[in-house]
Amino acid sequence: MTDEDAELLDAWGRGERKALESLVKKYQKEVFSLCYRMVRQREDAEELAQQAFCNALGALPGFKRRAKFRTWLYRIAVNLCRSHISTRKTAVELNPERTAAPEDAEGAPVSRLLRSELAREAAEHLARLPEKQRLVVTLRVFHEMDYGGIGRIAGCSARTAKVHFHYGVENLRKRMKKNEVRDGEKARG
Amino acid sequence: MRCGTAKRLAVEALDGRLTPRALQRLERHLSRCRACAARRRETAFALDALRGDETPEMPGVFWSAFSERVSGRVEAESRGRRAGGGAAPPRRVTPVWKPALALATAAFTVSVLSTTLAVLRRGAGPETFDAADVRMLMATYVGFGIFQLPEAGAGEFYGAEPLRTYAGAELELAEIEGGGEFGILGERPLFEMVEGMDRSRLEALRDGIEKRVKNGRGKSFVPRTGTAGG
Repeated sequence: MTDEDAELLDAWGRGERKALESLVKKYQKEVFSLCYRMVRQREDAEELAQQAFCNALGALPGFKRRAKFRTWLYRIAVNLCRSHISTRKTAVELNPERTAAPEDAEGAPVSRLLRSELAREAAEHLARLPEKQRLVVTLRVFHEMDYGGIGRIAGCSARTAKVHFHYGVENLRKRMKKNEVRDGEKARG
Repeated sequence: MRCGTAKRLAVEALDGRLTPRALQRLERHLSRCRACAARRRETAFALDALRGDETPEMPGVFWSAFSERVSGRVEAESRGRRAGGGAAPPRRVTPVWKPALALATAAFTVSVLSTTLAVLRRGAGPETFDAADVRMLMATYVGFGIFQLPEAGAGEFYGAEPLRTYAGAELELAEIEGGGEFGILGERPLFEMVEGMDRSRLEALRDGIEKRVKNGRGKSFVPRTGTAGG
């Protein structure tokens, strides 16, 4: 755990509200982003991120501080998202706002549009990967976590996390290639 | 270098994990193998595209409201616990119940696995089974007393949420694996542990658990992977 986090947790333990706020501010964007990438719904992601903070901070006495606070928080957020997804009873759905084609094409450089379209397509494929692969790729690509931390969050060893990453990326490549081929065929008529 | 190795190393290279020496070997192979070079390009393209996916940009006011709401909720919950439970904010559950919980969870696990095996042994069952099968089996044990230990929720299971919520798909086995940083929520759920496992592996797991239970050792008896613990 970073010294800064330890200090903030200690300060909050002494009753300093500011320390609690600082801790939340420090991690709120990344926890929200993680939840969003898992559930793909802004409102749900917000609620889940808030709940993750509440649960993590509420269960703090059980946190032995051998791991990073960030890892502990992520783990709780991931579990909440998994629970949420399983109760929703559907696989990850994509946000319609994001699956729609870009509307305001006027004036936007083609490369930017193309990039955002490709990103949307890649995110769509990512959302359809098996859960572990999706989680590991998300944590690695978007949160730049090391494999030890990813393993703790995903409930596997660092080595297994690397394997999940490999297959996740490989699946992503195959799916994007398949789309490319299909689009090429469509274009040729 | 074989193409299979190049395939693995190409992903590692794009992930920034390759040593300069391994990278050199990979490049040598790619300069000679057009298929591997193409695959590396496609992988880089896919990763690059993915990196372009951004989460929605939220305004500053959203974030200040977010932190205020969270701080307010955390403090209110903490006050609630103090008022309702007496002493301190969420306290760590006393270790007294842990062996009992571990043992009870072990017994529960054995019963679930035994039931699963019984289903499989009927002959018509599949060689492997998936999460849905295990969820179904575990759902029959939801009423099991160990999930409702009054104190168990305090510091360990997602704050104040009862473990009952997670019975079935989300039962976690960390305590019987020896605890650890995350307490009960630290390890893989049972359904993930047994999902896709073949019958002999499951039997070995069940035998390992039974042996440990018989020996009265409540902890560290569930093998994570590989051979069943004894």
